[in-house]
Amino acid sequence: MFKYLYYKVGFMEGSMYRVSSRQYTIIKTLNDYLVGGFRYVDVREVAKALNTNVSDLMRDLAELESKGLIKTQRLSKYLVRLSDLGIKYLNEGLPEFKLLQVLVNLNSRGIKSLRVDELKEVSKLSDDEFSASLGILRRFNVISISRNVVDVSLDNAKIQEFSKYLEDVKELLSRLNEGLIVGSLDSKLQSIKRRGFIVVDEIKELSVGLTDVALEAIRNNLIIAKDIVTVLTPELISSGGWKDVEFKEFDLSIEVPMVYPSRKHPYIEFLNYVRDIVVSMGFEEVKGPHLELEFWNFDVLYVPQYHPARTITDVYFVKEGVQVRYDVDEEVMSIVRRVHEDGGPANSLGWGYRWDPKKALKLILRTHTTSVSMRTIYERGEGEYRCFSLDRVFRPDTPDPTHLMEFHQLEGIIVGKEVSFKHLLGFFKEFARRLGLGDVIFKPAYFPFTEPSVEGYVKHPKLGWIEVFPGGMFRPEVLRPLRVVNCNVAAWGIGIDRIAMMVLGIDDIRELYSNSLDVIKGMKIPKTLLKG
Amino acid sequence: MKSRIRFDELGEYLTKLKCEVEEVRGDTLVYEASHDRPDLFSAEGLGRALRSLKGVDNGFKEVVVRDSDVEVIASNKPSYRPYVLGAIVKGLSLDEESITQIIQLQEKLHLSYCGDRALVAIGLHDYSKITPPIYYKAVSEYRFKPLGYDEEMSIREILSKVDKGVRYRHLVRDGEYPLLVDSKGMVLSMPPIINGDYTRITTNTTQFFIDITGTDLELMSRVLNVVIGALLERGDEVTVFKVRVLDGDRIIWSPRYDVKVFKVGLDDVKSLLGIDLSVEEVIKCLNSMGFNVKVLDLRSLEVRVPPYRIDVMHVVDIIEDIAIAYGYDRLTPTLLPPTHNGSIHPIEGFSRIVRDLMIGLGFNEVVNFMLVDSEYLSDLSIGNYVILENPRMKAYSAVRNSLIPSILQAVRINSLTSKNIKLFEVGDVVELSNNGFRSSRKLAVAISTAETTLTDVLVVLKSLMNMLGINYSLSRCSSNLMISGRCGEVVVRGAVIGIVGEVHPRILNYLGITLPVALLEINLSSILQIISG
Repeated sequence: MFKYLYYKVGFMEGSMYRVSSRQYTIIKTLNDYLVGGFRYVDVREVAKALNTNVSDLMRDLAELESKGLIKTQRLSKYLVRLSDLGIKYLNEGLPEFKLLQVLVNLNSRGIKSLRVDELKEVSKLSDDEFSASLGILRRFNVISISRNVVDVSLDNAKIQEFSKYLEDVKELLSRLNEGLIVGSLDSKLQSIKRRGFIVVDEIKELSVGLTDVALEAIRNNLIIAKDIVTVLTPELISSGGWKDVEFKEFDLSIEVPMVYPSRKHPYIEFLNYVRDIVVSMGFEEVKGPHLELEFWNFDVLYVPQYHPARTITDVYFVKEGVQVRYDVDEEVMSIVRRVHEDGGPANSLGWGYRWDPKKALKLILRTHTTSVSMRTIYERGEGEYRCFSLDRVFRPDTPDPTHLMEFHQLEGIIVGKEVSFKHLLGFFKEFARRLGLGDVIFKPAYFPFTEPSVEGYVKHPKLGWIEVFPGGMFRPEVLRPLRVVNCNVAAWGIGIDRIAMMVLGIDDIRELYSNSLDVIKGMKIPKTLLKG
Repeated sequence: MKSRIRFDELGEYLTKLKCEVEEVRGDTLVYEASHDRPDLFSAEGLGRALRSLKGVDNGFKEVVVRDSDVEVIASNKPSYRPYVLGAIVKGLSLDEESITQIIQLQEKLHLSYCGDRALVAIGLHDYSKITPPIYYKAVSEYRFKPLGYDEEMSIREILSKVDKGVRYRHLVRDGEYPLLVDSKGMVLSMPPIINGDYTRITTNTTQFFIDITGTDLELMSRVLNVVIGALLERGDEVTVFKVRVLDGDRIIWSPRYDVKVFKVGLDDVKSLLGIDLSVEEVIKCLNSMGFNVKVLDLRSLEVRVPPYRIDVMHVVDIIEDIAIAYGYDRLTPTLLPPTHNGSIHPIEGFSRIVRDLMIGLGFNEVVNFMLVDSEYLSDLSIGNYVILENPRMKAYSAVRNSLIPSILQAVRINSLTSKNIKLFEVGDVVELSNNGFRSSRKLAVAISTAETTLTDVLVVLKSLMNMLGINYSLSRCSSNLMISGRCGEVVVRGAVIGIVGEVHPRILNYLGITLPVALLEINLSSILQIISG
């Protein structure tokens, strides 16, 4: 776009007009029209020339007018069209014409006068039509009325004059049939407007033209387009220079680069979200060692020492040489032994084998956080309390999309005199609700340390019903050695990774433990967390 | 008594038996039974349980085990597999299908309860071929026809040529092979490897001798009862006979196919399940689960448990069956209002604060496994960590005692796509010392750009400690990981709680990292301990 209309040579800043580039184009357009002989130009023409619409231009026009560079001219025009009545009369003839025909008819039958109401009767016109027609005929002296009696001794010269009038009106109506734009309403139009033959719409038009001041300024090269800037610099702000520049419009459709905020790991965020839910349900978080004695991991849980879950295929054993401080109570150990061997004081038949303390004191990586629950119950005994732990557990496996050798378990216990199996189900249902997992269905299940045992299923968007909530009531064989006799304990141990995958919408469990920023970047904040 | 079950009914019943339908192929249904219900490992047991659920049977038929004068003499027995039990079952009528089912039961028991035959082995024999007494002994060698072979072989040949011999030879000791032979020297079996062909079971067999050998008498007895329970379903007049096992000075009567008796109080049911059931309801539930019931008084019942229900050890096992029969879907889940306010563990609260500060400093959080490659740790000259006895993969063969090895791996991985790396991890480690081990929560920070120096991590340390309000000092140290003179220990109140340094280029070369790396690691557990006083 050109910047100056004419090159300016040595004029003082003060007398210049700085206008925006668009205002500058408006002035140039008006000047071009002026050269072509048009002093005023319709704004619609100006808008067309600037490739925009009128409403967008109004602000610029107002600014230019306030600077005295343009003047505006507002014109009104009228669009005249026939009303329904007008169309009717055009087709059927005017009522005064009909009345004249009646009069002529009466006259030819020798009637020279009759009363107004008698005339109306024979004319078959409506009240309005009749009184208007009577008035017009009287004005043209076709008839005269005295004492309510109409004189119908017709004069031919008068009738001719009246017929000419009728012709004029008819011609006007047929001309208006297509609609007509007029600068003003003359007396004829006024009169048929009064009689409701036409409707008139006013059309306002705006024209603009350059003022003498503008013409003078153009001659002297005093109208200049403002500089366009793309960046508001500190210098422009403090110097006030921003007043003399124009800010370039941003193209909002242009793509900008993506920035990834440094963020917490989505999986840890999810785990903390789960923590907050469980805490809100009245649970206190507890922790225990990752390295654990088989005793706390299995024996206290009444898992017989020959159970397949206690072999090298299912448990990571620790290579010898680690110093162990055995934090095992001798008395508890001896009751555990008796419970395994013959049921001991737990009113159980027991497993009926020779229990080996050496096996119990082997060091492993915990296979579940139920060992933490065992230590917690051992420390606190009977009472009314709820505890949970959310930490890593380990089981020999080869990583693939659905398996890992270490993963997180959410473990919890509800201890109390009145705690029963239905409360465990109630916990699962509420927990699922708060996690946004929907409804839970329950099926019987088996775990060596709980009876009754249950598995809760929730609906996965792709996989259908999947098992996510294993739990049960700790067996008396588990509780008795920990000196819990008068309380029930509802317990659950949830593989939270599977739920995390559901919530985070990922299909490969290894991504939960990713240390690749590319993978982490790709994980959006899940809806469940956004909804709080 | 015969009865038909609709397919949709079957699914519901199987759920009550903790069985899961895996597949339906024509008239074959594949289901997975729960570990605690070996009595459902065969068609006989499943059919029996379904009859109870459907109400065709009302409880179970209590059988009387008869005496016999058959002896099993266990002298000179193998030291590592010291026990033998047996039973005789007569009056069987078998066809090909029932033999398949019984062998399937035997195999499923072997794989689960019997620890793949290491703990217990089951042998089934045509009793009419056997001339008692039966001997259980250790031999150094013997020749016999193994099951399914036409010619005699030596034990050594069997262990090297026959499939089962190769598969299970790790369960026997050289020169001390377990053998069951009858008085004529005919081989019943070489447990836990293979039976003799002589006593093979056919559709003409009507009498069974069952041998059970193993290391745990109680477990053996339970397994035997499951097998007997299934065989009782295969004939109208099946009778079980005891044998007398002469085990050194001991005489063991086998089987002990005894009904177990428990007293179940309605109050116990209410306490555990949280629902109040009437006596009639409880009896109905128990019968449908195959128990016999006698009413003792208004609030208690005598429940008689069939010998093959080896999972029942305690009243709670019976109460679970009541709940299952009643229907888990009929138990109303009830939310017990909390008795206390919940709380997160202090170290988790502290970790959240530290993570927030690290994010504020513009670092990205990563997560790594606690299991690491022990060889990698020793390449980094890191000592004092826990090594696993039985790792599945070398990559996960040790437990980390520091976050540094894994965060260095994270730097390596991310350096492939970024030249401006700022990472941190907050995670657990297991530290070893002379007096044991402990789990600790640590923070590791890694910075790697072309211009990275020690200053960068010192800034992080200072900013972090300032926000936490902790005074610390730095003292020189030497580390195999760091450049000499460009690392230091972080000391708080006289205790070393962390380390900062520039990673030695030798390590960077080893890892294939081409930009300098500065590290910080501090022990959050120790800091929290200091803060909490």
